[in-house]
Amino acid sequence: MRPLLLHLAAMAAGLLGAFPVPAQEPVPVATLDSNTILIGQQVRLDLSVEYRADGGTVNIQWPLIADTLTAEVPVLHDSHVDTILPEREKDPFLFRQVRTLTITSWDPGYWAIPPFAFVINGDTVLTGPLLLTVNTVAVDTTKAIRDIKEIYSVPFSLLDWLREHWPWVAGGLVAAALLTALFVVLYKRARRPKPVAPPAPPQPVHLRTLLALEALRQQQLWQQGRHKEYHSELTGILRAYIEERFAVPAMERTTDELLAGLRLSAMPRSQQERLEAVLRLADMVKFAKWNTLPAENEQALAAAVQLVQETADAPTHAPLA
Amino acid sequence: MELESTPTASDTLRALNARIQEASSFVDLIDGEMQKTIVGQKDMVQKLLVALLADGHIMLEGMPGLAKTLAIKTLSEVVAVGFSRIQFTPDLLPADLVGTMVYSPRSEEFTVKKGPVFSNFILADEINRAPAKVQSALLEAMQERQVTIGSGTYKLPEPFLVMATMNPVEQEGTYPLPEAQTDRFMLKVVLDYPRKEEERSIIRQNTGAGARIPVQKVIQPQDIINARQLVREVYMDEKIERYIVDIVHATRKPADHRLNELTSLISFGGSPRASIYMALGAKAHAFTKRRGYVIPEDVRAICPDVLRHRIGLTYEAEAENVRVDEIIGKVLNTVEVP
Repeated sequence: MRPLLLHLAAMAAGLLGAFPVPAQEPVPVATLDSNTILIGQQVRLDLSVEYRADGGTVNIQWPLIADTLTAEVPVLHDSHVDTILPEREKDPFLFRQVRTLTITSWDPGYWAIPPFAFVINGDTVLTGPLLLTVNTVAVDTTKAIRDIKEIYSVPFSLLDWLREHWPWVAGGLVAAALLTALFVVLYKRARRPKPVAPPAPPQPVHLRTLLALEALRQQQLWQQGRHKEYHSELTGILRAYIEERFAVPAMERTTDELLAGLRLSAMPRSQQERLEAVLRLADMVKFAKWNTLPAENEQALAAAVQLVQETADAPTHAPLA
Repeated sequence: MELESTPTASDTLRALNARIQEASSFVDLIDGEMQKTIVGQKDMVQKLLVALLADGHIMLEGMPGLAKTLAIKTLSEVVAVGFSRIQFTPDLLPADLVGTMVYSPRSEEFTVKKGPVFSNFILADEINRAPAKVQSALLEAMQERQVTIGSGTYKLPEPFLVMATMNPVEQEGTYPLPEAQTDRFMLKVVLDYPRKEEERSIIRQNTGAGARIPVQKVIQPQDIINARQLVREVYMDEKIERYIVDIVHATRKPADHRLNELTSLISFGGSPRASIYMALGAKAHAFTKRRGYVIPEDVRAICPDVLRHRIGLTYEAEAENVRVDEIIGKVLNTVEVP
């Protein structure tokens, strides 16, 4: 009989082990890291709910926490809810929701922190109440009242300043880098030799002179009675031609000096005589109020044109003897 | 070719040209007579005539023995006028020049004794050897054409021409003429030695057995006075006037005429009197060439002699041995001829 009883007991024990035991209901916990603080000192209030997730969904609603827990206990910081696995290796189905509040109090006394109401799977579960003792600083009333301390001047620290202003510094550096790059690009572009069109070949002096003489003819100066102007222009064109064509300074020389200078030039003798006739006539008109006949005016221009045409291909300098 | 159609202008210039052609014939005669005694130095003779016709005075600078005295003495013989030669010395007094009051015991009164300045042609020899007060007396007579002795003022005879000489060597014990006084001379002519052929003629002329060839009077003083009036009537176109002004202005502000290199060399340029004398000298030069109008050649011929004593050189120019004639040459080669 006794072995049978033992056997039945063993079977009962085996059956009990084979069926899962219902999980423990989640219980919220609220703890203070210190129950006693000095006035204004900060203290941490940890809220947590531990539960298993292998038994189905657990619905946990946290209490609403405003700026203060009570009128004397303000909340300085709220970490909000975080879910962690406290024993990941051993029990991967065990979860814990945690929330940390940083609180303080500016009023000395004993302040009760009321229980926090959690709604877990539709049931309201309360944490235990907490008591926070806030002590004030001991004041020596035998001494005189002193003024508050002056404002401390914190020594400047570049590191601190950079920590605070690093976005501006970084932005400035980036902007400076961009501007430098832009400047370099523009500078290189400006330095790059621009393609220049090849200059047009200079017009031969005799062609320019002939054009100037033709322009003078078309102005019809002597026909308007402007004889002096006509001959001044005519001799001016011729002098410029001689200066460029034969390299004889002509603009700063008198008629005599110019003719003397041309004697050593390559200008043919016949052309020198023709030039002399034009210059002498012009001198009379310019300096002696001489008025020429129309034929003389036309002849002077024709002589100038002929002189230019016939000396266009002559050598610049006289051949060496 | 014909003269301008405006009757007044053409007739005037035609008539003027004809008159000058006729009146200036004596120039060749004077030139011919001068060449009887003066060998070479044609430029000096030409400038003497220009100064005489332009009613100016002339300063000659040259070594001794270059016929300076002979030239003006011969000119006075040719023109038939009085001639005085005054040797300027350190002990000369103004009274020795202009004259003084002399007491006459017989009449018991002072009488005026005129000095050698009362002559038509004056040769002021080595003018820089006399003190400033004597120079000043002569220059005042040149300017005013009259002299005051005692309480009387006496006009100098016409034509009146002063030819002053200066010796470029032996500068010790001299009194250099200040710029304000040299400015009163119309021309300053620098004489050079004669050429070899000319010097041979001089030797023959002065060492031969024959007597010195006498010069003839070919013109009367009144003819010179009349000619001076004609010289002032010689036509000068406004282009020539502008040319003269440009040249004188270039000596004052060379940078305005592309002559920047002269700026540091010139301390002062030609005065307005330089422009006046250049215009007058150009007219006289045109007259001697028997023309009734001035051409640029006349201006260029007279320009160096008018400007030579009117341009001041800086210390820098003197240190670099730059001569005034070089500056004038650069100015003439830069200013555009009309």
